[in-house]
Amino acid sequence: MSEAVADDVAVPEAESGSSLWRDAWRRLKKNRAAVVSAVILAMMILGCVLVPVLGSHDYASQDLALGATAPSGEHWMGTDPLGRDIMARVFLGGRVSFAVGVIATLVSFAIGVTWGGVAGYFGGRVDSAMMRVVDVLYTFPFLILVILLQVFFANKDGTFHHLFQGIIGPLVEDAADPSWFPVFQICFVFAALGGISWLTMARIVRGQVIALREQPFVEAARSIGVGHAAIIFRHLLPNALGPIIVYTTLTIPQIMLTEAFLSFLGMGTQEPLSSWGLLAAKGAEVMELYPWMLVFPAVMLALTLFCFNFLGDGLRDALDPRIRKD
Amino acid sequence: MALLEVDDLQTHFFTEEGVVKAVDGVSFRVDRGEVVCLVGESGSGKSVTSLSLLGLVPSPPGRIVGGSIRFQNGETSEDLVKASEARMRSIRGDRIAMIFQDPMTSLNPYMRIGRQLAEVLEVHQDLRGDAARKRCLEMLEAVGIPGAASRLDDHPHQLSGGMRQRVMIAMALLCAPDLLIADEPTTALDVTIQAQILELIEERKNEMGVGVLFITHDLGVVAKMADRVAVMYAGRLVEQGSVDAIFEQPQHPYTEALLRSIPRIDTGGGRDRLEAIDGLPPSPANLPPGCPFHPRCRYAVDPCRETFPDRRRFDLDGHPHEAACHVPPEERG
Repeated sequence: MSEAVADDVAVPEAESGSSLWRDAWRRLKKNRAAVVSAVILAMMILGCVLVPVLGSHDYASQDLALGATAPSGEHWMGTDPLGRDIMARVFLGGRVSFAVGVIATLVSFAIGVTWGGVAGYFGGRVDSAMMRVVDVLYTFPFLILVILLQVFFANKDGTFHHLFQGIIGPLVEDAADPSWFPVFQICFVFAALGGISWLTMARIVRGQVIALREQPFVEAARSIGVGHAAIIFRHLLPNALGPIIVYTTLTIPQIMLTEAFLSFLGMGTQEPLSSWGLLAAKGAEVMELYPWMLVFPAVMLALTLFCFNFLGDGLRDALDPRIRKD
Repeated sequence: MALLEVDDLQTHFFTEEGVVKAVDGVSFRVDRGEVVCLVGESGSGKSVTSLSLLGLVPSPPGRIVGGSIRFQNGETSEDLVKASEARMRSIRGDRIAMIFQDPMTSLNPYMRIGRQLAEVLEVHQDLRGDAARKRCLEMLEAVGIPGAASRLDDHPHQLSGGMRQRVMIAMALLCAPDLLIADEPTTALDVTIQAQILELIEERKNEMGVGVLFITHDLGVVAKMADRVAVMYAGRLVEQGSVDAIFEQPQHPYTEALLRSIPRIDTGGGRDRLEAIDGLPPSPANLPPGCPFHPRCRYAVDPCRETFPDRRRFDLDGHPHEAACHVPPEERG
């Protein structure tokens, strides 16, 4: 008996966790729009991973003699005026767009949920101080700030670039190679977008936690000796999961759009790399001549935004155990 | 040595409208295996008293400003008013447990029953996994939940109110506490379920020898459960004594009025109208001077309007009794 106990120490956590998710999964499967969205997103992500690797065209190689051509058997999404394959560029752009959207959202999720949860739970002066920080940050015109940071600090001699090289230095051998510079620029965008988008998350979570912390079950948890951190993360935040998930799934497309906007302005992703925003911006310039250059990246972006919205909606329903099992 | 000895407890709330003396000089004791009922109207300070015992008074604005709460823990006794937050956390749920009024909202809707029960064991005994699950299962069976094994994996919304209150009781008893605080545990339940829950609490008390502080405004429940009764009015204890003495020979006009305001099957026979207590309970932020009950008291004399009466201690039918009134019963007209 005692041996079995010792072996199973980690089991209940994982077990109860996985069965919550199993229930949620079962409910999610019944929501057709969410399932279709999830499948489309999965295919899209798979495409973004595989197409640049397996595709027969390179995203950067030019064929000036070919120039811009409409979609054909050879180039399924056509080519741009430099003769580059649009499909290769769209899927490479998808990599960047997804990565920016997801990573920046995770950053904003981690900061926002913790910040809002702590402020809402403790209330009083702690809450006032923490939320004043959020208020002050809100008043900054952040997009302009990101652009300024980008212009003044995201250059090859800037502090941030040295910091970036310091971080990747131990990981790769050619950290000083200029080919890493575009990667640095993208990472800068991750950090900047994540850093600005947690404010709304913090406010939403704080509001939820304030409404929840007066619930008797929180007092009941305190009455059995549960500590503050466990109450916030085990009792309060799971109960706020619905709005958090919905807002998260809305943040991803929002950040993808912001990235697109920055790229459009020439501040985000730089040629020859691509992102959907950058491709759409380039396509918009020539939409009357070569509409396929705009249509494909725009459709991919729009489809992704739709799918995230449907999926978020489905997840909110699925994660609520109060909805009857049937 | 009593299990719990509360002496001159004062819990005040410092609000913008002024100091609210929610609990103002309350003294009582609870022994092992004994049920003490704390009775009073809404706002009389019953719940704040119980929260004070657990160190759960919402702060700010609330604070225990005076008195002591001596709690016997093994051989030694300690003052919970002076205990650190960490110490209180280790006592809550382990040595002193609480059952709440509304079982519908006292369980986390996102957590399975088994997980919520196991949390107590995890916090206090570092017990997890199968061993914890086994203990939870035994306790669910002990509180009379049919099909307990399958209930462990249910979410709270899948249980009825009575079942949930049984789960709350199981949670409170898992660590075999010395003191159980029950804050109106049957108020939110059907009458038939109420009787079952009361019996369950009594049965568990007898089996485990736990002292129970039972908070209620239902005198019928008091008559069924109590060994001793303490009556609260406007943050003060006005009378306490054995349950028989309180019901048969109430010494304080407020207790007397309370008893007259409930229907009795053995007197009157339905011909007399029930008596209500005149007026309203005073606002705790704005108490009348002197004895707070005097504006509603039929026997009030001049000293009642000026000073709060001292507690008189005496024996009544061989049981210690105390009441705080300026007018002795024999002088009441």
